[in-house]
Amino acid sequence: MTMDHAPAAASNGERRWNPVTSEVVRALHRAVGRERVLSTPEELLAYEYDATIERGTPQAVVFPESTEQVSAAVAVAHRFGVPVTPRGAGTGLSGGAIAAVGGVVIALTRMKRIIEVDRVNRIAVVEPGVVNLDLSRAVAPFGLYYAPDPSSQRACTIGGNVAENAGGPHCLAYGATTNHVLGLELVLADGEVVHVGGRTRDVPGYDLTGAFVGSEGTLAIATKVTVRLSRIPESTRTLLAVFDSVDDASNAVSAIIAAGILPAALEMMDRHIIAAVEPVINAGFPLDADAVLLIEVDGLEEATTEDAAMIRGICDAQRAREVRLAVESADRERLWAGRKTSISALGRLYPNYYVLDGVVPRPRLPEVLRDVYRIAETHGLAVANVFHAGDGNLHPNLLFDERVPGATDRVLAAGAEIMRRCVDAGGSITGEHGVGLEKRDFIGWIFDDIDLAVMGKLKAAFKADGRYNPCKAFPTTRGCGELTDRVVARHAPALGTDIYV
Amino acid sequence: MSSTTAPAAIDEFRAAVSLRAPGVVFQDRGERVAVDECLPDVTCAPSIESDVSAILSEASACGLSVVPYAAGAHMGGANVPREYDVAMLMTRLDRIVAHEPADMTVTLEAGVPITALNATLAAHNQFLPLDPPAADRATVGGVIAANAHGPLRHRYGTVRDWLLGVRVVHADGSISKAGGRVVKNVTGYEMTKLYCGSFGTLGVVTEATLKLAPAPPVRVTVAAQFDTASAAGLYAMAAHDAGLAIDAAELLSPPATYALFGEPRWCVLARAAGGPGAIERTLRELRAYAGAMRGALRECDEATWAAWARALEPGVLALRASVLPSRVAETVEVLDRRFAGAAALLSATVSAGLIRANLDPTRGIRGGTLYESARDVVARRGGTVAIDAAPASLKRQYDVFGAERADIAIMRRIKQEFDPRGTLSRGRFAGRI
Amino acid sequence: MTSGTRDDAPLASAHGAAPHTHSMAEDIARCVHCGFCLQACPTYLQLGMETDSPRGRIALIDAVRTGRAEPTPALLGHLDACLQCRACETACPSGVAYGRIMETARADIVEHGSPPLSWVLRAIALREALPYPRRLAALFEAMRLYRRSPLRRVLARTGILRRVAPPLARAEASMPAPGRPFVPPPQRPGLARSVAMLTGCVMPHLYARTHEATVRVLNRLGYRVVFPEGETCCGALSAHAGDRAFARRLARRNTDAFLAAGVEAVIVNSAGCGAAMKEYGDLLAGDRVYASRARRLSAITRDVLEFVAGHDLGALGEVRAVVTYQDSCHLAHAQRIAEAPRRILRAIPGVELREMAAPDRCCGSAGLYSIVQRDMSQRLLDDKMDDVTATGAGVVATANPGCMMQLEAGVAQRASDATVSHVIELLDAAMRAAPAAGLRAL
Repeated sequence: MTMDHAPAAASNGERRWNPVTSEVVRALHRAVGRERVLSTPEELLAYEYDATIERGTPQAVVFPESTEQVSAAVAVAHRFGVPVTPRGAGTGLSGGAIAAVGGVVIALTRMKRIIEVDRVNRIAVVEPGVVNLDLSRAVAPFGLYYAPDPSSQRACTIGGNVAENAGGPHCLAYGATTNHVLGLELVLADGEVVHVGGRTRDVPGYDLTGAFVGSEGTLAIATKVTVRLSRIPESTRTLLAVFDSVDDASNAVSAIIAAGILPAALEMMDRHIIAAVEPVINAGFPLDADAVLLIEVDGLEEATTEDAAMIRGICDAQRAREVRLAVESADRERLWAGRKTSISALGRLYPNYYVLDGVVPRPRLPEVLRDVYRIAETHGLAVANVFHAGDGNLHPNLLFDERVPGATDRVLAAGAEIMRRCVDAGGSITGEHGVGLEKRDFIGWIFDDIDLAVMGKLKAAFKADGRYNPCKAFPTTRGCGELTDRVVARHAPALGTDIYV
Repeated sequence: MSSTTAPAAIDEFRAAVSLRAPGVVFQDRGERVAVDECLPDVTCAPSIESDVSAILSEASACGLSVVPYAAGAHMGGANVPREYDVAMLMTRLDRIVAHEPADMTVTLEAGVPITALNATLAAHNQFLPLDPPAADRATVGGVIAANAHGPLRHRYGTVRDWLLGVRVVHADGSISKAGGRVVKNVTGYEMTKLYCGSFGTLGVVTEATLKLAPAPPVRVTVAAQFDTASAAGLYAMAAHDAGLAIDAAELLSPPATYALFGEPRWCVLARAAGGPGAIERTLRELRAYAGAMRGALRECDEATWAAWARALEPGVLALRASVLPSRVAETVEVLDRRFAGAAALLSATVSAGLIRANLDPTRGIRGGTLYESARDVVARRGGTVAIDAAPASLKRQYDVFGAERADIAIMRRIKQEFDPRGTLSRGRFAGRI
Repeated sequence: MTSGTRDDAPLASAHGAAPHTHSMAEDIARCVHCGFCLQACPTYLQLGMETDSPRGRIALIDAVRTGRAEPTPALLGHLDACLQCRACETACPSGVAYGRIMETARADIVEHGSPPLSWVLRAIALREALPYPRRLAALFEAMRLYRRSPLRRVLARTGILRRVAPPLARAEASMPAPGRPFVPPPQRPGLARSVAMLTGCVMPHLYARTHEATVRVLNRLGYRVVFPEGETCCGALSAHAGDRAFARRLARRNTDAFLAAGVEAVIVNSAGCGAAMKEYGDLLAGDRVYASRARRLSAITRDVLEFVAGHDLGALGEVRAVVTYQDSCHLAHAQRIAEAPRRILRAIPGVELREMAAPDRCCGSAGLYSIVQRDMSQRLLDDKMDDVTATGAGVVATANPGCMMQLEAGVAQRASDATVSHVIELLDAAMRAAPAAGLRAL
């Protein structure tokens, strides 16, 4: 054998990647077993998507069942210089699990054991493929739950949540994934296994756990996650406030926050979302309302009573047409089912949606929301809004049919404009979905070259080069040139490249 | 103890900084900024970010080691500097840049004291819920660097949970930012987390944006005293498990209780915080739990917490142990026994598994003996001990961050990437990075 | 291939069958690949692979449809591994008609592509057996004889089958135990209202007792039960196997037979058949003659539990049992009926309903699946039996003959004392145990 496995070095010294040859596949077979590798081209087509409109076909998918197998597969990829893309359930909304330039996908779906639950200390140790809701269900008998609750929680995995620092409606009060992860077992890009953080709250040294959460699978693969569990509150009240105008609803949001109430969740749904979801779920969202707010308070019975009364008063003052209170769990669950399936339900209206994830300072919500509708209209697009109003995290869904010539272009143009609007308002291009493949061309609006170089240093410290989940999160990975040719990238400079802070 | 750097390098540095950043005020070496009995060759006080940048880039060029210094409240929590050429006094960066009351965020310079900030915010019924020992002096930048916290940690966590964005000056003088100004944001790596608790070894935070909390309408502090540590521990855990409206709950050893109340008993000092209904219910249940554990509950005033802060402010030797919440009461009890004779004051945030110990080793027991004893007791219970304050001699003997862990290699590489010349707080971090 | 006189619809046709009224492209476009279906899919839960998930199978089907991929054995293997339980449809926020997509895809491959030999053989076997009561009767009679034969005892004692051919041994062990065939019982006289009932292909041989219980319950609720001349197999198995042409033929026969009966409802006690008949409107939508008639039949088709739960059940006697209910997929997911069976069970005095974990996850029966995908079917059954056992229930109730057979096999494998019943049998027992029942009995 004289074949040189060393990755070809680019002129500036940055490493490029090699393709997955039959030799690589054989090495993967030896590393993890033939039955844990998928490499038939037609089967790989089932791995070219996630929940976005991005596409990318891997050249092999590996299904490890243990840390050792993850390490072995990653080491093979390292030895041959082929790209690695970690993948959980593939429910992400930024293209993070897409094999952007081919290579090996490490699918962690078979690592789904809940290894340990310590009910007294409210800790669980889980494998990355454990489904978010399954964890909450497993610990429910102890009166506990896992607080971060992304809308895809019945399908998405903890590993994916960690990668994206996933949020959800209830992160308003309880924080996103980063606030609930204590420690990690990681497989670095060369296959080395390292433990960071721990079970106790304070572990001496740099907060590597905190730095890792939200790194979008570009630093390492988490093979065990130690999470904090939370106590199921004794009382939960959910209010549904119905408004005849989106403005009134967003003013109510600002008023609630300004009054010093921190609800567990504060969500807004507009009439287009209601039209998609209400016929399916029958949650009781009025079809003729312009917007509804779903507001939840939890804690002590006395506290939720007080808070619910105050919130009701504020909504009334902001011209709510009606405020309903759901206390029974069945009623609350129906409201939440409506909220959490609402984006997927848009498939009933249009074949495709493009969901944005911008964040704005909460007082700017009403004006930015008005602009969202205006921008969509300018581009001749339907837009449906359902979002985490309480933390200013917008999810405008641009609706289209990608088979119509030019439709995707218009959507991406409108999307870019909306993101730009969020940035101009002092916000961010993503609140919980991640930058991924989808928004990497816009990160320059937030961070300049120095900011990104500093992040690159962290990546280097983890020994992860551009081969590790390539073309994600950062705009300048070499070899992703063909991707930047996409329409989405052409819109970024058109809207300005200045930096807002 | 003094550094061995050639005076010529210092002079060169002073000259270069004065040229680039005339606003920087220089002072000669002084006791005021002593770190572990080391004095710097020069102290400089920047007042704007570009001053900080000039200082660091010139120091880096001259091969000098810079230690950022604010109120000095938490300087004991890192290792002894290998060299201490330049003290960079951060207290002049003390402006509140922007307070967005309706968004409940604040952007401020690193030198703003927490107490001053909260005084400003009080008018809006908001506050930054961080109350480290020496909160009256502690600055936002210092709290970030040292990851300092106090009793409020029970409900509000630590600074990493409130920090939204930072501006950082790096060792070469370059300026970067991370995070942002909105309450939810996953654009880019979570660099903010890396800076929390990094003791100024990766960069100097000049500006921070923080999330704020609404001030609870009512606060009532109660102390429950018990005969045993386990009764106190059970009481604290019961209150935690019931999800009562409590924002702080500290388990005190008898000497600590004595320092606060003049009675040498086990005690849990807790503060109910929330609306009137929630407070009433919380106090009712606390009274019931205390009764069930044969404890006595009494109401105290808010000033008790100031007394707590004075008692627990790291003195000659201060340790901080982290164990699982279920092991706290037992660990505190064992430590209290082991520390008998060292005037040890112990206070634990049970829900966070955190134990603070303030010791005075001057009375016959060697500090090293106390530290080793604590380290062993805690290690046997699966926890770790960090040093918050100690005599320099002891810190030279023991790494304040404890034994090296497997991930130290990543930390070394991070330091190497961020500060290859060792300009920032040389030798101060874990593994004497 | 098959004789033209008997089969007016050839298995494979260059011209295709009746046009699909639902465009495959539109059906597939509804899928936004959000992944909400993944955890509802029994095969994905076992394998953790997109290729064996609803979303992945749709992607594979679309790839074949658009010419991006050939229907290779590897690819078709993933379509074959689908149970068609349609749990993904219940989970899908977007309302993707997955069952229709999968059936259409299989039909397209059978009709236009080059289907694997196993598919063709399966379809032919179904064609040659299902609509012929005498052939089915002979088949089940042979099974009955075998079960009583000395040969079986010899095989069992020597364990020779296990050594020589383990798969055959497993098949042998779970072979159904046919009882005496169903004969319509005498009915209570003087009943004013009438409903028709599907006899079906397998039920009368394997579960005559269920049919009898169904008739008694319907009588007691005031309905005379008619069995129309000419009714036949519902065609579901053929449709699932991609033989839509033949399924349509059976559907037309049933449409004629049941509409001619002039009844107010057509009652089906086999969830799979009921689901198929409720979808006759879809299946025959392209048929000029039958489209509207098929829709009419679909509109009056009712699962027996759905129908019964809408009635006042009257006085019920006690049935002492701890019962766990396994949702039949084609009741819960295809017909979206999950509450009615539970309501009936809760109404029976003495019955304690203990829910198992994931009662609406397929038990692995899935029509022919338990025969052609033995390994996966067994894995699903193993997990199901773990869940059943954890409840401590003495009776496993369900609503479909396939599920009953599979669960009976599971109970036998575990050497458990539990029994398997159709919900209607438990209701029948409760009605018969009612104090007044003796007086009004025939």
